Amino acid sequence: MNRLRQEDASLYLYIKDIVLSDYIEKQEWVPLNYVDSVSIGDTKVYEIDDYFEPSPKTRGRGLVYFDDLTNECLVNTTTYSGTPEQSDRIKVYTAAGVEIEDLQYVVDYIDCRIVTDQLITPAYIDYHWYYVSVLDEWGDVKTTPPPAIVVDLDSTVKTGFQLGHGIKSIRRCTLHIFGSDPAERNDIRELLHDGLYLKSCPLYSFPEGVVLDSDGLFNGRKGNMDKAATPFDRTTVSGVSRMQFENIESRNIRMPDIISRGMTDTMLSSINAYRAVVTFDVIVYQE
Amino acid sequence: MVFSNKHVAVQTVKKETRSLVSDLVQTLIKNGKVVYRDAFTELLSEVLIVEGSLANPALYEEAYMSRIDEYPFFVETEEGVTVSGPDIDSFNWEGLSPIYMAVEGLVGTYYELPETLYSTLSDRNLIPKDRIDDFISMPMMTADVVGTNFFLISEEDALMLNRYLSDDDKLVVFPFSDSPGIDILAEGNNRLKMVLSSDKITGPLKSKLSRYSK
Repeated sequence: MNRLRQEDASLYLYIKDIVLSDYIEKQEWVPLNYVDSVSIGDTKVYEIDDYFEPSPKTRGRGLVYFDDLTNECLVNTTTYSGTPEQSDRIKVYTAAGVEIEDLQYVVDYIDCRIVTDQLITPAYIDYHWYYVSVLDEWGDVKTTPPPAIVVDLDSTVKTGFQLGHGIKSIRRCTLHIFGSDPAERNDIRELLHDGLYLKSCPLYSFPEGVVLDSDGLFNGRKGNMDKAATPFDRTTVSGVSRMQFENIESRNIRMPDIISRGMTDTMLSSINAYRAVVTFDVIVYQE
Repeated sequence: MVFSNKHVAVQTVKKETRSLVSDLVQTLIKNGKVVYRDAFTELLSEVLIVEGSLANPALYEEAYMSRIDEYPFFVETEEGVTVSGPDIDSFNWEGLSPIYMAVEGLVGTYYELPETLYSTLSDRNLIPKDRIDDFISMPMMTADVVGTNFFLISEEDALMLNRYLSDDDKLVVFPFSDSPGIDILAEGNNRLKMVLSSDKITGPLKSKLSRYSK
């Protein structure tokens, strides 16, 4: 993984798990439906019965894969080797209301599914999910309902910063915000601004990859039922500083010259109606 | 010359350097036109424009440049003169809605429905009655520059409507559909900074400017 992608993924994690932690929602006692079409042999798949908007299954959302990270060490040390998969964000129950031990199943955090090859029948679930969709592609926005954020690392300038060697990397970043209404748009905009102002985040090297595999399982969990053995590796890139955020600006976007002709609904679409942007520089110093 | 890291360039010049300012004004206006036009044409030329589009950037280039000319790059204050370039909030976008859309970005695919064509269709009762209100509720782009305003309508509605239209009247896709913002003003400001710090400014003005550089 090269530096740009490391910075992009580190920023994505910081925004999703730290800055937007207030937008993690909890649902309780939600029915699980057996999905015959993707169940094979003894491996049975159960899907959350989502009946509300936005669905946690939509792009950029999903189930929460870490426990509360408040006061958590977010950088590997000699005594800390990473963040384990969540243990209290998801609870699965039988039809009788008995909690099923988490050694009996794995969680597909992207598609919101419970996968098991044990002789159990999950029936209900309590879960935490990401209310705000965090995306890394502009083109994905139209596939998901608001609120959504697109993380866009744009231009890069690299200069020296001291006598001798040393590189200062400045990347211009834009967070495009798509709200459901003006109040929500403003809340998210302010939350992001405050989450970046005078702040920094670790630059991870991702030696074992990002948090989730492409199949939605926590990294390393395929065929491995021991959560403690597969924490997310928070090793940072050696020889570089943390990612520092500077020159932060935010503003709302107002589409001009829209003539209502007596109609109240004049917006292009719901996704374009309540938008804002937060722009900032990501500064990294490399020795 | 010192600029902030924002898109807007700012430089305060002290009172005693007023003589410098008049030279600076002329140089900036002369060079500014070029760099803002270059940014406009280069960045927007990368967008695929369907023939007949009312949002073709080439139709708006001169109007855009006239707004650049009108923009007050220099503001006199008690302490001196501040030099700043336009940004998306301070620029006058009146009549340039399609270009504003290009700068802000747009999610989703839309088609252009000229207001004149819409009126004709209504008069001829070619749009199903139950769909007229849907069309009316769509936002209209005021584009006086090209002689007619136009609505942006959804792809689904456009495909439906195209069935009623002759080949000459078929609706075309809005070129800035489903596209992130293309910040031509920021690019123009960046180029202006480069001009001011380059060898294009020579002679006494160059040496005076260097005294105020960090």
